[in-house]
Amino acid sequence: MKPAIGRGKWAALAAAVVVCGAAYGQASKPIAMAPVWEKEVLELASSLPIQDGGRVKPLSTYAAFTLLKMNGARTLKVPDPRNLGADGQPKERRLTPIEWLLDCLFYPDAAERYRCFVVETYEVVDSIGVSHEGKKKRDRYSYAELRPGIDKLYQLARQYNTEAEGDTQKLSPVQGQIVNLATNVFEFQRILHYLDFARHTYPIAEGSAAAQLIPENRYSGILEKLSTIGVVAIVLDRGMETIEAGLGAERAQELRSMIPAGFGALSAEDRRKALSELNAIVQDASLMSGRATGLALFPPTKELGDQKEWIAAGELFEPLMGSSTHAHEQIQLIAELETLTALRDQPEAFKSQLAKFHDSVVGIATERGEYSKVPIEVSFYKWKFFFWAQWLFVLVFVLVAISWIAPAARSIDAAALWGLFVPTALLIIGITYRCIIRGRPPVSTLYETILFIAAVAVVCAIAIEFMNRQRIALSVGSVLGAMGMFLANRFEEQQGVDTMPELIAVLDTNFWLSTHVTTVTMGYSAGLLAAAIAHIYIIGRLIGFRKEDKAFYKNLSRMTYGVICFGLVFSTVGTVLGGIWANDSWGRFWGWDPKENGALMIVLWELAMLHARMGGYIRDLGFAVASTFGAIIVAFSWWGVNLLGVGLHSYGFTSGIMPILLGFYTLELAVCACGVLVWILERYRKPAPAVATAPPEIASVRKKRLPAKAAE
Amino acid sequence: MVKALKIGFEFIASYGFACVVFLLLLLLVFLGTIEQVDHGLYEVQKRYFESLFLVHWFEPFGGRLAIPLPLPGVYLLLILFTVNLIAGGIVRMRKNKNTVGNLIIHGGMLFMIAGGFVNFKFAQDGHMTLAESQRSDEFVSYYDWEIAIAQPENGVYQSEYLVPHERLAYLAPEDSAAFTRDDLPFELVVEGFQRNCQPMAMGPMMPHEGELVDGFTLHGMPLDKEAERNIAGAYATVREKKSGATQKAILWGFSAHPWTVTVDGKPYLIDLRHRRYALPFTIVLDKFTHELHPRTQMAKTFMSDVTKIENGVSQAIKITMNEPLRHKGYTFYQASWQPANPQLGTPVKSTLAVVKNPADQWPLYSCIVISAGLLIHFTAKLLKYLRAENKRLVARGATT
Repeated sequence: MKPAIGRGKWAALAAAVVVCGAAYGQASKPIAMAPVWEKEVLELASSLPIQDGGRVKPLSTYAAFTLLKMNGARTLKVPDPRNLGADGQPKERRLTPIEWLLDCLFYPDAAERYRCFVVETYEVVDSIGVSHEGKKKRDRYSYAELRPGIDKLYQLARQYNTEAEGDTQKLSPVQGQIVNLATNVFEFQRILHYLDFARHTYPIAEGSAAAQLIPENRYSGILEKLSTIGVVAIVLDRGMETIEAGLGAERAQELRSMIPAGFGALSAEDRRKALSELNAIVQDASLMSGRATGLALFPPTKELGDQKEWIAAGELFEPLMGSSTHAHEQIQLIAELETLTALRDQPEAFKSQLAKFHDSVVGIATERGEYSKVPIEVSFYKWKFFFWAQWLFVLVFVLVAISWIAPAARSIDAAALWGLFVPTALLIIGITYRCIIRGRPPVSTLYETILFIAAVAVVCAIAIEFMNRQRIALSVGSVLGAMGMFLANRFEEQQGVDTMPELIAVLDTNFWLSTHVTTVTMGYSAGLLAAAIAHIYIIGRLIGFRKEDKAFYKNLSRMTYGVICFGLVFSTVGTVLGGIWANDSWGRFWGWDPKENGALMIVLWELAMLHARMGGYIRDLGFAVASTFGAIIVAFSWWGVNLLGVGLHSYGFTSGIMPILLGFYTLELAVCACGVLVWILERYRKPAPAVATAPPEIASVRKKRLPAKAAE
Repeated sequence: MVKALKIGFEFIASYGFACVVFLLLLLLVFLGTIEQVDHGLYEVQKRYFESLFLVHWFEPFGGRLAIPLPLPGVYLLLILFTVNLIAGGIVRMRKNKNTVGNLIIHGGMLFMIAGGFVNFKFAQDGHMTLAESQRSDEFVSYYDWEIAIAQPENGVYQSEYLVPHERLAYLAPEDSAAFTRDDLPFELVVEGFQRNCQPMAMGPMMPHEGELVDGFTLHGMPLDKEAERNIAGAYATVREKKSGATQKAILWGFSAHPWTVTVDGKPYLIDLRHRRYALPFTIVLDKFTHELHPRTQMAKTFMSDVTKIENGVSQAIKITMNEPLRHKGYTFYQASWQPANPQLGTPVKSTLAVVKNPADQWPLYSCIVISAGLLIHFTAKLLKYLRAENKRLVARGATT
């Protein structure tokens, strides 16, 4: 653990007790300050496996999504009492999710003062009787701040859930937020109290009868003796002689071997005392085990048979109670975690103990064949492919914009074109990583559709750019790439759940995921790409951009047409494949399910566009307007139907995106209206002189890319 | 006349006609999708997708205003689309190498529509719900009802007469319909048929709308959005042919036992039940496996190990999600299980969806045909475009 003020002073700092009242406004009791965790500690903790959401994942992934859900952001700002500002107030530092989780586990007193619960409105805290004085409408609260209202919070959440019969769509926004907050607080409590079993002092007095039975005064020691404790309790209750009288000599001998020497010779008074002591110990251990059920950190060892469920520290108590089950290896793991907890203020010892615990857990997980993907996932999140891709797409767009302004600057032009490959490659590598981790084709969740659609749009844009070298597809590709990454990022933040969940049974088929789902999403992608090119056409015509250059607009129109054709192929094939899948899984080819209907609407709209174009009912401008409207249909099919909450595609249901979706519809309708305006203006405008003979724009030609013979 | 026919043909084969049909289909599909939120799939399917005409009510301002919009139903639109496709997309279309892809696409679409029509008209669907070691040689409809009249002799059913769904489906509560056969000594009069209702015990002072039979009346309820939850009921009167004597009862789809009526000294069992379809073989559920993802309530896999017994020959088969059993035109799918959240030790029943659809695989064949057509057509288009772009770039290069 790296100290903030000089490495050598770590121990003094870690041991220091500070009053954080000034920072938090209300804390009054002295609390232990959490350290700045060392890089090695963070790496070890990050790659610890945990079973959550039905799969084994890195602890860092669990921490990241848990914090995201509570905090609404990927990192957490906390005051750093080691680092005071000029005004004497602690400066803020950012905790990564794994740092936050380690603080919660090992320094719960400090962590409960972290403002990690985002609350959207005052009404939420008002309704649970918590003061919002000094807070903004949307602000963050600490567990300590919410504590006075937690009982009320749970009571309200239960009431709303019952009234809504578990259907979150029936909840009002404030009710929904209360239920969410209750869920988050509950999850936080499970983390905060997870290691209470290791911190707790059990009532085993030195030299007592109980101490003879349980030589190690800690939870793992009690677990180890749980099966014996039951027998001893009976002996203490009834007396050895009474029990032995009913047993044969052999069984009596067996019984004597199970209990510590001296137990049989206790006086009645001492037996009562010892029994009471044992009861208190078991009750305490039972209480602590109830708190340690949140994190399934322990892979089941062979002793527990072919068990698929990993276990939390507290979950071993009940099966061992009064049972003859042996779980020495499992208990050993728990003992290692206890030791780790005890060493929290000794950085070097903590690090080596963590490494030992890590090795033990990873060893068992590897043996079970459940660890191989964990380091890959750690590295996937570490590299932040989509984050970098987003900003590189933006950078490429800036370069393209400069090349539009200064068409003669060929180096910028080239940089933009080749530069687009970098974020595209990052995006594709990221998607490939996810495929490897999940063992699935690229698209199996709503989140992954965003990544895939963005990737397909950008790759198509690059292909078009190489076909016609107009810099139009280049611009559109960079914008769509950046928007796709931004949307993926926002969606992940808004949902706050693992984006690599296990799949429900109906989706457990890589064949259909890789055929139907990918083709239909490629259809979405093409629809959006066509609409983006159509935007340039409409807005360009409206503002008179290159208005003399008919070839420019003809090219735009050709591109739109080509992309719509491409989209129609994939939408049609994807929709029919979806029907064939449905015929194999639900027993009917077509069931008028909203998701199916959405895909059909795209096909129908694109068919109408193409037939209207062939029949001469719409020309280039009309086709552009229709393509733009097509984006609304794609958005409805992609997102809109998921908000309806009906149909068999329940695994795609989502919520909370309505405002963004309405904003998108409005924007697209506005662009369509612009198209209509262009049509009206040009219809009544005096015809401009013919420009068909105008020479092509030289500036847009890249000599060096032409075939050598032609260039000569 | 010929001219009029020609104009008619040109009209129905035109791109414009195709566009109008596409746009109306789009509108209907959109409205039908939105309406499912309030009315459920079954009702919407009947009203929007399987109808010739309908009236859609726009209800802006929170329902304070209701504007009717008459529309053609999807069924009619698909007929018009088929005519347009044949006339414009096949008959009128030029036949040359440039249109090969298009012709294949249109042919594939016709095949798909034909598959849809065959499915709509001739498919039977329902479910078979079995506990482990149970067997069945019939499956049960989700939505359709029938009245079965059985005559047991010495504890064995000798014959069963059915009032089919088609005769009941269009009965309104105020209608009355009589059913009989020459070999039955009575006629059965069905009145007050309701698609969703519940028998209610009525005290003598309690007001009630319908008839009272043995102190019970049928209380009509609004149709459920999940159509399979609707439970039909009716008042039934048995009128003896010889004497004209009558006996009356309530038939309700969820009754534990059929109504037993004695006529001419013989007992008859009369039951309102979900329509049943006989199978030419027997299915036995040997084992049902229901596995959740660890530490979640999310289904990882559920499958039924069944034995198919046909002509005394047994065959063990595994039915799981996405891997149905297909045999003799019937397909068995792993649909669900009951109860949804079983307690430990509770026996779990497996529900297999059963479909008999003569056009089962037609969509797959048409998909292959359409894909081939799309590939041919648009590849040709792309190549043409690339050639044009190449020429353009070369021309620009030459200019510079």
